[in-house]
Amino acid sequence: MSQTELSVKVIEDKPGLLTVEFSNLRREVLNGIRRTILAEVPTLAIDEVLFTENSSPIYGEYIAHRLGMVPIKTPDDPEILSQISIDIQGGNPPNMRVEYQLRAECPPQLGQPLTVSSDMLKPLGVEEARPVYDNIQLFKLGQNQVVELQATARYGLGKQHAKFSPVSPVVYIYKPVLIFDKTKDEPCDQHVSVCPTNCLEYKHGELVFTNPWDCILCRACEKACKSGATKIMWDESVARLTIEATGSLPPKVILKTAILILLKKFKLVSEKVGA
Amino acid sequence: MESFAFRKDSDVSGLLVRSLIDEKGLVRLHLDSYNRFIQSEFKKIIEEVCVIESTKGDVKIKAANPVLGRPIYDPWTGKQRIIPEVTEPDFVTRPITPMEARLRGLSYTVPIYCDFVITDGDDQYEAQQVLIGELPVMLKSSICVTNGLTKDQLIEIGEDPEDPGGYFIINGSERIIVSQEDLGTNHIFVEEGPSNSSVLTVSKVSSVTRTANRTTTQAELTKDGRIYVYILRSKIPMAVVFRALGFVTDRDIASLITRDERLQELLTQSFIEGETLATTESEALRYIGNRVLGGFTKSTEPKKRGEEIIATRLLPHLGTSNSQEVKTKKAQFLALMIERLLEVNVGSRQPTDKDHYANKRLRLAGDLLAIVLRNAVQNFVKDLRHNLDRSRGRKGRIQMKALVSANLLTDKIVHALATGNWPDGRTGVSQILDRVNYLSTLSHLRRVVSPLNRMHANPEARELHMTQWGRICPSETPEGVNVGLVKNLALTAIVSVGLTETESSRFEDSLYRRHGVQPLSSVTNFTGLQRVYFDGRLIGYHQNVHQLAEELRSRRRSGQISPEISVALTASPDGKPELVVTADSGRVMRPLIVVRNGESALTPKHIEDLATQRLKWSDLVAAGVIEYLDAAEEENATIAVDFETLKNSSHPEKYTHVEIAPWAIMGVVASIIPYSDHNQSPRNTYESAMAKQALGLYSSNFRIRPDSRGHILHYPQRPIVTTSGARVVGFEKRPAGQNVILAVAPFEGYGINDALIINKASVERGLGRSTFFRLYEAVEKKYPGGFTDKISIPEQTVRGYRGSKMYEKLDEDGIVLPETMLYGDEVVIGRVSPSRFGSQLQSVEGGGILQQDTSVALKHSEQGRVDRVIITFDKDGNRLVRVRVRDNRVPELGDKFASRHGQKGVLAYVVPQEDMPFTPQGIVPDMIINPHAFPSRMTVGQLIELIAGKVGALEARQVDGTPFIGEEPQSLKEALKRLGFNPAGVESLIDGRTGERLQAEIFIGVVYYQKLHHMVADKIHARARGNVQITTRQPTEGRAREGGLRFGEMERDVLIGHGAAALLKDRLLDNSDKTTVAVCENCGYFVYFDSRRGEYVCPIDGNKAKVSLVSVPYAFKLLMQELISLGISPRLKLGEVGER
Repeated sequence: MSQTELSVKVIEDKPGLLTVEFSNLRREVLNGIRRTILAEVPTLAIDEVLFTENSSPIYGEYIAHRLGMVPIKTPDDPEILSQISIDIQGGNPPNMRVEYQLRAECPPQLGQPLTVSSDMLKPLGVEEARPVYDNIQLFKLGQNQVVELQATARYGLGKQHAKFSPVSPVVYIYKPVLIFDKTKDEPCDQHVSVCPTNCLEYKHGELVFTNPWDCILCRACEKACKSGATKIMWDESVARLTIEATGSLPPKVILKTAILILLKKFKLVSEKVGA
Repeated sequence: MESFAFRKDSDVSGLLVRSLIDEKGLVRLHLDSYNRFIQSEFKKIIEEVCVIESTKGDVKIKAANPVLGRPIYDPWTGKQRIIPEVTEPDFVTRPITPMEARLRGLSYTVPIYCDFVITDGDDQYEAQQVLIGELPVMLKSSICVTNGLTKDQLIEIGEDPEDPGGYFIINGSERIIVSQEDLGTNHIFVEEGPSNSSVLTVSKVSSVTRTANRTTTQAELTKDGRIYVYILRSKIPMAVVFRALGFVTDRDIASLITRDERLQELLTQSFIEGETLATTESEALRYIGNRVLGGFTKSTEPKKRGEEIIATRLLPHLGTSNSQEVKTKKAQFLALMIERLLEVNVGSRQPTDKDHYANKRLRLAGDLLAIVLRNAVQNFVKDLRHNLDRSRGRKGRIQMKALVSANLLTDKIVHALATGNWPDGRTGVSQILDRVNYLSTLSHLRRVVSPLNRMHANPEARELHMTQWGRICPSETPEGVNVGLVKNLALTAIVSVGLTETESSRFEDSLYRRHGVQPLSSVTNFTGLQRVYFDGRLIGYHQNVHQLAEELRSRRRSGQISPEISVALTASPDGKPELVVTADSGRVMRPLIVVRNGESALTPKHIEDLATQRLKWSDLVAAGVIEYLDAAEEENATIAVDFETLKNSSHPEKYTHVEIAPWAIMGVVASIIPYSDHNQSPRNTYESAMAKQALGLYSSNFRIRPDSRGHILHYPQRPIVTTSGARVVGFEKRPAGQNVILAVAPFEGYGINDALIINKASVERGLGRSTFFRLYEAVEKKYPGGFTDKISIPEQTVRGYRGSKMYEKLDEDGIVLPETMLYGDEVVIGRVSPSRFGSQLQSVEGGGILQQDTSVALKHSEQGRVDRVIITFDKDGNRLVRVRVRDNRVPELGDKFASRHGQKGVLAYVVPQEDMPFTPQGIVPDMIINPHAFPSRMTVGQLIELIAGKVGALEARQVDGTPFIGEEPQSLKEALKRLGFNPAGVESLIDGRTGERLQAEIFIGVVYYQKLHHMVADKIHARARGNVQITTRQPTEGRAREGGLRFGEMERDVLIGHGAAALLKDRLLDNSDKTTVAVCENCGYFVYFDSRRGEYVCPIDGNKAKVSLVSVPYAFKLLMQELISLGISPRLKLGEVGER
């Protein structure tokens, strides 16, 4: 592999979780992707709630805030999503919206408080745009208490409100590099035992990683090494990006959308420049 | 209820303290005191004070058998019992719940009925029972509705099941009676005289009896060797007083005082003086009768007066009769006072340590209510006598109902409680209960204030005394003027209720009969005898007080005598042991585990039974496993700090007790600080003050409570790093704070000077959200003459109409609808009142009644949604409308937050999540603080909490951070390593903006943060133009009045320094109170403008005046006129600018 050639490797691909290894991707670009995912990949989230009845102990603004946090299945076409993002940022938010209805009442014969969860949030029309999970607790109702509301979900961006962010963590780490100066080393097993992730071992009198990706760059070994032979560094040219989605969009779509958003922005720039 | 798993000592201490608090509650002191008051004290006060003799004729009325309430049907328990009642304006009486009292602004009281026995000469009428007044009821006391209700029933009547009680409801507001610290009464205090006076030594006692106010008796030794006794501020030579008490000869007096010849010699001067003044008992009495200030007795005969004064004003706690028995007792007591005086003077005894907690007593709600009741009954008697005298003209039977005005008594009591002004001159005795959060409520109820306040600027009284260990919290005290004077009880502190009079005399009797104490008068040969004191009095002698102490203690441990009785051994100056037995009220005691022969009396079996609730705290006390020691008895104890110390000791038998919980020396607030034993001590003090400002869930019934203002945190959490104290106190059921992922790092300089950086996404996900409530209310009052307020939308013609826009949110009935959004100055409740001069105007102009708009509007700088509308009737039957407005508060720049270690900060930067640094796991901190917060403040506890919080979060458990016995920092570090983290708590973060790895490892973990109730939304303020004050026409001051920001002296100095004269004039004159006045240049006075003639007229020079217009500050014009009104003649000399 040449020093400058970009390579991409999928390390882990599970529903809701994606880990990709990039080699020779510039730090700025990688961080740009991460930031775009967090702040600019649009999803649907409840943005407006109209209460027709609320005799619960929980205030309207409180319930509305909670409803907003419920992740909602969003149509997963990166092309459309990226365009929506560009439109929102350009000041032309799409007119698309999904209406929901919720009516809950705690009958007196229940004898205990009624927990209202996300499955009671019924979308009107667009059946696909349902809450991702059915068991998110929204609020509880006491005897004879009623909540009736209409909610509207819209597309929005993470930078507008965290509820629109499609991921919970999105993170990358650089590849840890162990520099071990054999000449300085005095025999001591401190390095290995001190490591909280057990990623070090002695091989042929040399300290090496068992798996460099286990290292958390905490430098515990470096501090434990009195001789100064051990040094933990990192290689910015190799990085692993992990996306853990909230469920509103699959991680791959998120990644692709983020890249498309960046590309469209670049295209916009080049158009404006007139190239 | 979660149970403690048994691992170590810490669990045992938690279990013990929990069983104490579960059984007794944290406000036991108030409840015990109040219950004692209503059981016996109140009856005795009324019976003793309420004796009325008519000044005309010989009618005598005596109150007898006063009772609280009549049993009525209690709908909640379905039983007949005494519960608080309310009498409606239509005289219907019915039971009332605390919540109804709060909602309608009523007082939570119970009626007092009393029989009156009337004797007219020889005739005696049968007793008549009459309502004489109402007594406020303490919540959770034995006559409160909540007494005996289940949790569900409490919820049904609108109470929080976790509410501690211990307060009163007066006119709808919750008020507490703050415990007052007091020097021990009926005990002798000896102190050095003031350094610049002729007094060498003073011996004092303040006598307290139920019926009379406290009287101080003082004996002092002067430089010329004479001893004087002060009675009612009159200085009487000692020998005279003894003669008046029936001890005539010098020999008798000397041997009564002391048998130490060295001390007796010091009496010589006093005897010489006494010789010349009075040699017999009657001479002495006459002397006293002539000397003591008049006005106290009716009698004119000096001897009679002397007798009366000796009986009632000298040591009245020993009796107020004139019998020789009482007199002898008084003489003996006085002798003891003088003996002590001499001992201190010769240096064989130390002056009394006033700050020693054995010499302090707490006056609680019951004692303080007694003062109010006594005063109120005295007033009542006066009024009744007056009414009786007036009615004597009429024939027929005396009708008590017609004579008694029940409101008088009620109003006196209620007024004292409502204002905090006590009849004895103290102020601030009752206060509005602090409801910011649950802890602040509890802390307020356990507060102790010292009346010494500004009076004695004695720095030692403010210092922590060693005897406060386990009684008073070492951390929780305010800073500033009240430091060390306002205190808070420690967790396990218990206040003695005291024996009742009968119990006390029965106990004293048993000391003579059963324990072989020889009464004073019976002893002739003193050799080998040791003194025994009871409640400050020398009551007799015993051969072996050590043995007597053992007997008494073992009887106390076996429950034969009250656990409150304190048995303390001390030594007299000559080294003889003395026994001091005390059983009075207000002593702060603390429970300890008894050690017998080096073995703890608390066995594993006890612990197990306690855990399974087969055993209660009181069972342990009854079994003698745990006993209460007051500060006096604790001087005899050797206490092991924990079981470990006891076990590992080479001489375990030297220990008498083991500490129950080392952390129980802390009060309710300080005990929530994790690892507080690792903090610099002032930090714990700061946190103790701040925790009381944290927002949380102050009460679970907050939705129905009509608090005038309040905050609720949306997502209160139990702290991950908790303490046994926090659990036991109930903080985890009513928490005030959230667990926050905290990084300690600089961030673009935004964290400098204790600023906080917060993650925008965290805020958007609900971190630190709260709701603010404010209650607006309006009463539809009825006025004399048939006029009445009207709650409605005001007509345009009404005076003070605010323009139709202000009223547009009102519904037809003049009240806003729930869930309406309101903004500043909009009307919440519309109301029109008859004008103050309406009736007069009506007759003058003949038109309709002039009406005035008295609508209630939303505060100018606030907004909110209408949360709740309550329409009800107040105690006078007026319609009462209360509207609660709520406002959602999302954290914003300038809001104040604090950790539990006195580390407060203000929000300075809300960072978008993508800009935040992140850990390899993708964890993004919720909050970032600057590392400079730590080195100088040394809040190591917070660093440990951060690591502990991280471990707790990773292992999904709560970590025990109890001071002294919590999880060791070392084991937490090991846990962290086990979990795959750097044990130091640091991690390698990547900067979210650049994508670079941060050079330094960042200390990151979980810390519990509190949102404090200082929010920018309540403080933000600016003005360009606006209202001015009427008197000076200068801009108003303060945010509430939309005031200007003061351009003060220092700012003025700056402009002078710069020579910016025009700007100075602009600030101080043009933009402030500029006015133009006309001045007569001839006489130098202001002239007025006659608008009819259209010219200026000088009151002195008339038309000849040379009038000039001058611009001056209005305040200056005002000053001139005020000077003129004082008869001073200020004259203005005018000239052109630059002229002299």
